[in-house]
Formats: sequence, structure tokens, C-alpha cells
Amino acid sequence: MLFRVDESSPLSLADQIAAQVRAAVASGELAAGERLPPARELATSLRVNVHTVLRAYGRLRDEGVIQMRQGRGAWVSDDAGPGLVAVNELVEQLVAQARKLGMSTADVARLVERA
Amino acid sequence: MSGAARVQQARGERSRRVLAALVIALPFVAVGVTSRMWVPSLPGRVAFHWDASGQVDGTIDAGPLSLLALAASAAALAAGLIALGWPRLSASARRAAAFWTGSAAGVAGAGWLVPAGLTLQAGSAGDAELGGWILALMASAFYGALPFLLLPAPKPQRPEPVEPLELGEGESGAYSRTTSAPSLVAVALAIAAAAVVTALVTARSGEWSGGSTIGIAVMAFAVLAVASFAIVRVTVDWRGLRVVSLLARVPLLTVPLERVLHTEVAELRAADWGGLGRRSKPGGTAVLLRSGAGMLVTAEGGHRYAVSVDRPEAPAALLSALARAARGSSRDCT
Repeated sequence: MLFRVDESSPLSLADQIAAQVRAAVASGELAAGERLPPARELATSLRVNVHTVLRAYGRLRDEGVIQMRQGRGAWVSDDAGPGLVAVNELVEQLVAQARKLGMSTADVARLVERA
Repeated sequence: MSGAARVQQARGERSRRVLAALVIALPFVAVGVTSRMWVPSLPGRVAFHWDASGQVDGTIDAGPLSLLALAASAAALAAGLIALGWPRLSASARRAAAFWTGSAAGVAGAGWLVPAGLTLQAGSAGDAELGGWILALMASAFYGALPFLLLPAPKPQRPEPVEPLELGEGESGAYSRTTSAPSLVAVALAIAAAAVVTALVTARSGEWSGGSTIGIAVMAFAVLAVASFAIVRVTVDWRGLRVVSLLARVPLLTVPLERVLHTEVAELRAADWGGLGRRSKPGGTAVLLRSGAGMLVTAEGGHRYAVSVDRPEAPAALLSALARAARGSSRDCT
């Protein structure tokens, strides 16, 4: 897939990389099980710090979009797809709105469990 | 082309595919019909191998031979029908599949018809004379040329130039994708399976020799060589274009950015490059995993580089943009 990073963007480089992977998964450009480039190689290609790429991959792993294993690299999760990406985006919006109202993450989790 | 002309053309192509299917089916039908007619009249064993002087030195049971030929020609027919009916197969891939399945069907058919026919004519396996029928056996390996020629040739497609990607000030880009060739993976697995079966059979028979070891070592090397091209990573970045074997971890093709003149997307055909894998010819180098869409890069001096890659528009546009930026910045420095 194509990666583009813009140093003048208000988004951090890691956020830009993560957003592009999410978009590729949502559009079907990256299929379930497909390998992502190794973090070190992608960092060299984009001329960014390897920790920047690792931060992006870590965020995607925490969202369940990708899986990572030492020595095996990173790949798109089997259940990742447009649905998971859309739900993750809704969760981020929900948490952001809740914070504006002074609610904690635990409050939001309790509301979700009751729903 | 008008709508009516397109319909006419589609009908014509369909008729050719039906004819090609019938040609591939012919050996299966011939084996089926002759098996029913001949097996009751044949002696128990059929001549199956002749020495250099033309004497029969190998025989086989008629029943199992007919079943083997029937199964093999049926499998070739099934594979041929799948290839002929597959909607998204390119014209060149369909022709290639028709050739190989047709030839497999031809060999299977000849492998029954010639030995069984000669034995029936002679009355016994030992008296069957091969004579000029060896030419029929050899020609059967090219039976697939008939369905190949029946199918329409792929229309030559000109490479299309790509618009360079618009990269903003302070923006950088990179492309990375793993591409695999299922056909090469299948070939590697088939050779590996053959090596394992050979090793097991040789070990069980207790006739292990230096020749067996060398043969298995050659097959193992062939597996590694084919597998090296089966899965590759294509990268486009500030260094240029790189294609690296994921198994062997070695670069198969490198085009430094400063040498890139322009890039195009093209339909790459294995037949134009002499096959799959890393190919070289005067004025060109390619890493082809299949016939189909790919990138075509022209470098300084006119040398052309071709790479199989899915959806080649994005990496081609990026390479074009990076090369243009590199040329622009080098002009600023002079």
C-alpha cells in the first residue's frame, strides 16, 4: 500500500500512518491476513524514526485492526474490516464526547455494558 | 466498436472456447470408448516400454493402465474446462492453460492408445512393435497446441504513462506490498513433494546411493530457487524501486531513483519475457510472478524494468513523482 506522511500536518506522523492503514483496511485495499511492511523497513522508506512506525502499529494492534508477533511482523487481523474500523471510529467519538461532558472512561464502559 | 459488433465478437470467442474444450475432451472420450472395446479382448498385460532395439522390456496390466489414462485425461479435461470458463483469466493465461491441459490430455490418451492398440494388433505384449508409433507418443506432448491455436490471441496493449503523484512541500511517500505467485508456490510444493516421496521410496527400498542423494539435493535446490520468486516485496521510496525475495532475503531487482526516467503501467506477459521469475533480455530485466498488470520503468540508457504488482498505478505514480523531485533538486544544486 501507499504511505504518505506530511511533517507540516497537525496530526503526528504515527497518527498519519495508523489512519492510512485503517483507511486501507476499511476500503478493502488491505485484506485480512495481509502482511504490513516490517516497521524498520517502513521507517527507512519514509525516513522516520522506527519508534514512530512502532507507535502506529501498536495503536492499530490495540484497536484490533492488526496483530503483531515478535519475529513474524505485523498483519491485518482476520476479523478486521470496514465494520471494525467504523466501530473504532465511533468509540473514539463517544469517548471524546463523554470527556467533554466530564464523564470518565469507566462511566462510558458502564453505559455500554447496560446497553 | 458498436454494440452489435461486440456481441458478435463475444459469440465468436465463446465458440472458440467450446471448440478448444472439445479438443481437450477428445483424448478422454477416446480412452473411455477404446477401454470398453479393447480391455475384454486384450491379453492380461500390455506392452508399456521398449528398449533401444525396439524390444518390449516392460509390461503393465491392461485394466489399471486404462483407469490411469482415464483418470489423467479426466483431470486434464477438468482443469482445461476450469481455465476456459474462468471469467477473469487473461487471454494469454487462458491460452497457456489450454496448451498445458491439452498436452496433458494428449499424453494421457497416447499413453493408453499406443501401447494397448499395438498389443491388441500383435496379439500379445511381447510381440508389440513400437516402430514409427514413437512419433505419435512424442507428438502427443504437443497436442495442446491445437486448443492453444483455437483460442484468440491476446490483444497487444500499449503501456500507459502515469501522472506523477502530487506530493506537497514537506510530504514524503513510500509504497510497500507483498506479492505472491500461486503458480510458483504450487510448483515449489510439487517439487518438494516429489523430493520427499523419492527419499521415502529410496529409503524403504534400501537402495540409497550417491545418485539418489544428488537427485534429492537437486530437487531441494530447485524448490529453493522457485520459492525465492514465489513471494516478493515490492518497495518504492526515496531509494527507487526494489523487489526483494521474502524467502531468500536478496534483492531481485533494483532501480536507483536517480536512474528512473519515466514509469508506465502495462499488461506484462510471461511469453514476452520468456517465462516467470527473474528474466533478462537485451534492453530489459523483469521480475514476473504472473502475466497481468505491472509497472514498466525506463531508466537512463533506455534499459526497461518490468515488475508484476497488483494495482500498479499507485507505485508507478509515486516512483514518477519521486524521480521528478530528485531531478528537480539535482538541477537546483548545479
